[in-house]
Amino acid sequence: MEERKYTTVSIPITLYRRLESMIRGTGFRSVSEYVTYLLREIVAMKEGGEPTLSPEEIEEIKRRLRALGYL
Amino acid sequence: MRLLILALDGVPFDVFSRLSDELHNMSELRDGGRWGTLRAVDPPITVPAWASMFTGRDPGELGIYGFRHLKRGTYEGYIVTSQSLREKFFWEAEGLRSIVVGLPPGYPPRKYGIWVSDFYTPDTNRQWTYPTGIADEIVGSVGDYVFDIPYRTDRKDEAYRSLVDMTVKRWRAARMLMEKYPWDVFVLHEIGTDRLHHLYQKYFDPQHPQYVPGTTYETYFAEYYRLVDGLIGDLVGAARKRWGDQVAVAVLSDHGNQAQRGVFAVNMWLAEQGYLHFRSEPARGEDIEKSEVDWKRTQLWAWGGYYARVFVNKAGREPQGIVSEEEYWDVIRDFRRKVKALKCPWGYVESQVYRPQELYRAVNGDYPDLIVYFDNVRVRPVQTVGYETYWLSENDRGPDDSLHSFDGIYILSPYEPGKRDMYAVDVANALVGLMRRR
Repeated sequence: MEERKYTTVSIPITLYRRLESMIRGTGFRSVSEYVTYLLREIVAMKEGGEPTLSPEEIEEIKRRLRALGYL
Repeated sequence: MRLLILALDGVPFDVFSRLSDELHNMSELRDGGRWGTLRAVDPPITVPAWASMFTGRDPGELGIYGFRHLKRGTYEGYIVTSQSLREKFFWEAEGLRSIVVGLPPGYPPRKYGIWVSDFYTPDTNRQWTYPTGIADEIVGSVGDYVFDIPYRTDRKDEAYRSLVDMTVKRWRAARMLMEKYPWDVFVLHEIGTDRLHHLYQKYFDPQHPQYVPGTTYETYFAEYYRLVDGLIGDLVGAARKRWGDQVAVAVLSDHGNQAQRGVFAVNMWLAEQGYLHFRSEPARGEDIEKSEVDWKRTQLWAWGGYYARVFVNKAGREPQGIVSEEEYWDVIRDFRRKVKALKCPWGYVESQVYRPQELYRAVNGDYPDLIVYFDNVRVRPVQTVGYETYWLSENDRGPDDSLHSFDGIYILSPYEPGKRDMYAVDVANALVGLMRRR
């Protein structure tokens, strides 16, 4: 049997409706898709991780820290 | 009560004690307040130390272990910046108005209150303040603003002039901001105190193996501390003149500094012990990250700095991992035993090996498998390879006289006078408490 990829999480209906109206006219095809997107963002934030500076800026910071002897 | 925080990077408790007769302003604050040793977080380095002190979260909880992290499950590193800090500083959590100057990791500028970035800043052509217009006001007020100086250098006289120039400008900029904009919490971080130790520790500290007494550099040491003490007097004086006893002052350092006793090429030692293998002979001084590591035979490898981060090449986690779940603990036990038996050229030393889970209340983000202090952080582990021996005469990143220690200082004023030591993660609570005093 194929392993399940999705499960159900309950949220208040009023919140569901607010989310539904928020995604109108966006690329999100369903509230589930939007909620998954939001949660991924929050989880990534909670877990820390790589900053979102541009690769060029990252290189500049690295050069700077290297010049200071940190790297 | 509003709070002026003077965040002096790397000032050791013992040096403050030794010079306190000459540091009249700091001594006066101490005599009217609570003070003592401030025990730094693990590891005792600038990033993550300040972030821990001002959030009340330890480095494991923050998921910040240094200036860079190795992305778990890869052999690739990335840089820790201001954006890596997800927790709020206590003034943000309390919704207070803040002005923060130079606090690491401070680039890109944090978008809360007024923020002036730190020594991470590549150059002043980038946005280095928030709001952006503050940068022009600073330049208009003090001229070219200086974030840091090249301190791993033999040009010690030139470095001293730059150090003084940088410091004076920063405190002038701070004074301008302090008097012009509203604030409840004002944080001024000075990196110069740390740079002073890295530049001149061996001219001041008889514990240094290459101690040279009686030079001009020794006078620079005390002279610079007197300069900072004078700047503290000016800034605190200006604040108290304007806001009277409604200003509380905190003087803090994030860690101490101590003499560097030796330099240890940790990866060369790991290779000799059979943990690390190369596919081709590395060039002398080559960075381990550039070397052709034979991952199919490598169990452990390390990053250097003030402390060593040791990584297990774990099967199922790293792309070419070989250490199985069952072998993992044996490898760690074996490594600990070997570190304990490690002999320096001057004799046996006491080193500490920790799993992050042994140091922190929680362990988040990209943590290393092991954190190692050699000789209580008096021996510098370097990650470069290709040497004939693992004991080196000098740092691989340029001359450097000092390493960090755990004993910083703190002074909270006004407070019932007395010495009482404090742990870095308790600072945020203590500062909130100080602001709530009447």
